[in-house]
Amino acid sequence: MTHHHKEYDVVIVGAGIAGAIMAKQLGEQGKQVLILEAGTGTDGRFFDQGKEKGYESYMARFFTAMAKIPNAPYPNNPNAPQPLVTDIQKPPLDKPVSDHGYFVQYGPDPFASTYTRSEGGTTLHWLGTCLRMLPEDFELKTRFGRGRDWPISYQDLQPWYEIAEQHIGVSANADVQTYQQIDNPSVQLPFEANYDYPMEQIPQSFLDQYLAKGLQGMQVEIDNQPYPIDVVATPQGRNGMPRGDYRPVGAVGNPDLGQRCAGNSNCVPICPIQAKYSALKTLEQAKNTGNVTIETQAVAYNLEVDHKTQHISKVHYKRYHSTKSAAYDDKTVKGKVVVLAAHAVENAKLLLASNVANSSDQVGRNLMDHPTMLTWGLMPCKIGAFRGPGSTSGIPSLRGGAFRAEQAAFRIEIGNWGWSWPEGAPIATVPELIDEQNLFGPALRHKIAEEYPRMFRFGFLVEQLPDPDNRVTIDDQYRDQLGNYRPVIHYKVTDYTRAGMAQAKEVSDAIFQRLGVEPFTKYKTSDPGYVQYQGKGYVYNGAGHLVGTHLMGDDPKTSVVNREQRSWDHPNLYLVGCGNMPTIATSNPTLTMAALTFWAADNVLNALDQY
Amino acid sequence: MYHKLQKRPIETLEQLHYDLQLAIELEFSTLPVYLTALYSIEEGTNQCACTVIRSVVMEEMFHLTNAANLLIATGGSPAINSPEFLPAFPTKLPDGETWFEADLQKFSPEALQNFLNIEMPTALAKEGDITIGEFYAGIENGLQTLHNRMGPELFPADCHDKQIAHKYYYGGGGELTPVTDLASANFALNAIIAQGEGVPDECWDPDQPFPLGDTTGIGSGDHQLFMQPRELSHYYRFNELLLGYRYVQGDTPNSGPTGPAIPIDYHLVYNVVKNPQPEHYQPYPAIARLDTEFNLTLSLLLDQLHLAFNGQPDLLVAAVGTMFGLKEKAQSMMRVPLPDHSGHNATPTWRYIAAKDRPGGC
Repeated sequence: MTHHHKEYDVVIVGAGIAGAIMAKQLGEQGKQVLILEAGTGTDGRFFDQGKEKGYESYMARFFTAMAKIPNAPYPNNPNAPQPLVTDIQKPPLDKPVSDHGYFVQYGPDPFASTYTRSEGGTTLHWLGTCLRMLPEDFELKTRFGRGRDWPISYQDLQPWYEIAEQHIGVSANADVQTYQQIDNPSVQLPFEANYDYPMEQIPQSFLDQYLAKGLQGMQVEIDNQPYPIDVVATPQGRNGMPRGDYRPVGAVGNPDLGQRCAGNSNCVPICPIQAKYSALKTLEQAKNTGNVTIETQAVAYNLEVDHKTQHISKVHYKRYHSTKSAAYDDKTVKGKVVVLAAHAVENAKLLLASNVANSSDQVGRNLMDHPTMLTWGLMPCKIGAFRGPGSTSGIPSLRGGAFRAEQAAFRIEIGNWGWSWPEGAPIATVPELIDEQNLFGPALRHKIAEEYPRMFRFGFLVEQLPDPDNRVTIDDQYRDQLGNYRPVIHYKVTDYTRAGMAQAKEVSDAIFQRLGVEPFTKYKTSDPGYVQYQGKGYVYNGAGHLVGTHLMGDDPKTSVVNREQRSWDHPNLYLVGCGNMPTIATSNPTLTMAALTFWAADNVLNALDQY
Repeated sequence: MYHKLQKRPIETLEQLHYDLQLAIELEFSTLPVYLTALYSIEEGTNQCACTVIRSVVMEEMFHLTNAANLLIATGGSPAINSPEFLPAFPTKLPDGETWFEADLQKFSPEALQNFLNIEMPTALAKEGDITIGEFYAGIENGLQTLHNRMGPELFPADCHDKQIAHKYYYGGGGELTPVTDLASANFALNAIIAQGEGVPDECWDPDQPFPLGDTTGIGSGDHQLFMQPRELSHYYRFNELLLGYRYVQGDTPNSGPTGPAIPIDYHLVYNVVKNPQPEHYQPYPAIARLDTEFNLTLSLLLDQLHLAFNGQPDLLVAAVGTMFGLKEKAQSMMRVPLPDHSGHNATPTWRYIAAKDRPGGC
């Protein structure tokens, strides 16, 4: 066997959705691609076959997990550790830092989101929401004097949105998603004429229909301006009824499964039949080109720069032997082009560790999330809680508007699974009925049958502005067992966002009153995400939408990548993923990120042609 | 009166409709057999067996829909929600096979042998034994006969849009294509015959290898008819389970499967009673009530399917939810031991309850 270093056309770090799309696009054009993935994988298998590697092994782990958190099915691996929502603590007042779990948190507020370090990345546990950004989201600075502008417009990204929607297999109806029916021009989306999504929209839940009827004609006032409250189906990356000749991709490793969403009710953390899109499907397509190799258990830790050309000359990585020990081989690989697709936090960490791409001093900065405030209560009648996908509709009419000059915009998500998020229902709430309310037998059954189907929850995904002080850094004190850096996070939720939360709570109160919902919302000072605004308390959760950290811009002094998503500092280094997004706005970022990545893949192909 | 095959060549449109209705009943009559075995497997165990049976079930529903589309395309109307639509088990299949009975029973080698009988290719059957394949061959011939006489009028244009479109078809099993002429009608029929029997062409040689695309037989190997990867016919897929090994590239019907072992544990199966009759449950009101609830769900499903196949296809979306209800009710019943100390658990009887016999509010 020879031991020469193979040189690839492209080395991609990270086998999540961005890395998978990049690899598939390049592999299809005959480029030789290597993906380095820090976590473990499934080997493209559905069944375990006793080897703990198939998708079913994730299911088995999920079934036995005590806490059904987003990362519950996915191995927590000391060689590629990942954050868990159960690690999140309020940064203590008397100490400057909380280093519980993977993140080291300096606060002052806790960063509450997580991601998955495994082949397939965070699409393994995403909900599948595929919203486009609004045209005004790309021009926040120009229009509202807040945040930053993107170097590209909605119109620039429009064709790539279509490609991403076709690839992911989004179920939605374009005539609904233009929001033309909403009496707020700020949110209306221009779609290309005659365009429609590849699959028809997932049927709206009974709850959605109940809300739509009950809220018909409702308005709220912000700054003396009326805004409608309209219920609209949410576009989703899960298989519905195909339009025309479109055929969705089956489950990886078992094409007999994975066709249409059957309402299994656990999209997060895992769809048992893979009706929900995950990057495993794209990775399979990438591998089938014959030009893409995936090396799992390979943690990139340093990028070497040729100081004459400023090219990234080598990627150094640690290939560990198993998850059970810290033994590893130190390896390097070369690529004509290097693409970092390792997630916003991991990309920033790797860049900082390598001291590259950071002439702007913006690497790791401007970390954003959607601080997500929940409200919950009991509906006056049974609304079929705990059925279907996690959410099938939302209220998008406050995603945009003149008020963004003063306070955050937000999107309202309608949750189909009762109080599962705020209270852990039904699993965590039954012991309380037994232990504290002393219910048993028929009385217990009656209580469950009467109350659980009435459980109702809203989620308010509140906008956050890019703030250079909200950042990921590295610190020699904090390393994992392979000696790699752990992310050190500074994070706060500013008044702009808190004002949005306060506004959201007012809207929620008005809706609850109109529908006769008995409120059960409790914001406890002991909750890690407890914040105050104008004397009132609110609690935010993480949305898992990690954005910023290497954002795109027109100016090398203030941004990390240019509009082609290429590093300003290194001609053969491309960054992809949500880290490129200059603002988070109100849409779940995956679709926008996927669209950007299809564009980036085109740019990489053009660049390779010039070598 | 329960339909039975009338052995005769199809000469009239009425006879064709009769046989297509019978085909729908035939396809549906296999579902209680397969689903009883599938649901008896403890959840999360015997995954290979579950996925094979499940995919065959989906293909049976695909066949049912193809047969219904064919009936609709030739001006007929499927009749699905009636007590006569479902046989009482054990039963002889409605296409006139007399050499075995289909049983409701737990997943077991005996059940798999029963499945093999149902899916027996004509070429393997004993001389004189009727098979499903022959029954469909009769329909194929009848279509040709009628087409010779009627021409394109056999497929009236106003029947094209009444058929079930692909988008409604719950994933897996195949591609529904509209039936508009003799070629598309034969295409739909071929999908049924080839999946069920894997019927080889005239020069079939049982020592010829299967058309498998790779070395394990688990991966791909597209068959253009099905729009999905590697497909052995039902008979051979069940045979893999019975023998516990996969067919791989180079294997033939005569060689048997020589590939990887299929892990099967017959202990992880609820020991449900064979061919239960409603009378069995009369002494146990709680179990009888579970059975009735199951049968009410089944009846709702048949009502929804009937309406869906008669001009309201959107009801298929709701029917998917009903199918899951069926599974949930069957499984909760199968977890209940019969109090008769027989060591058996309960299992549904699969009876249609007519609207007039249902309790109020259903």
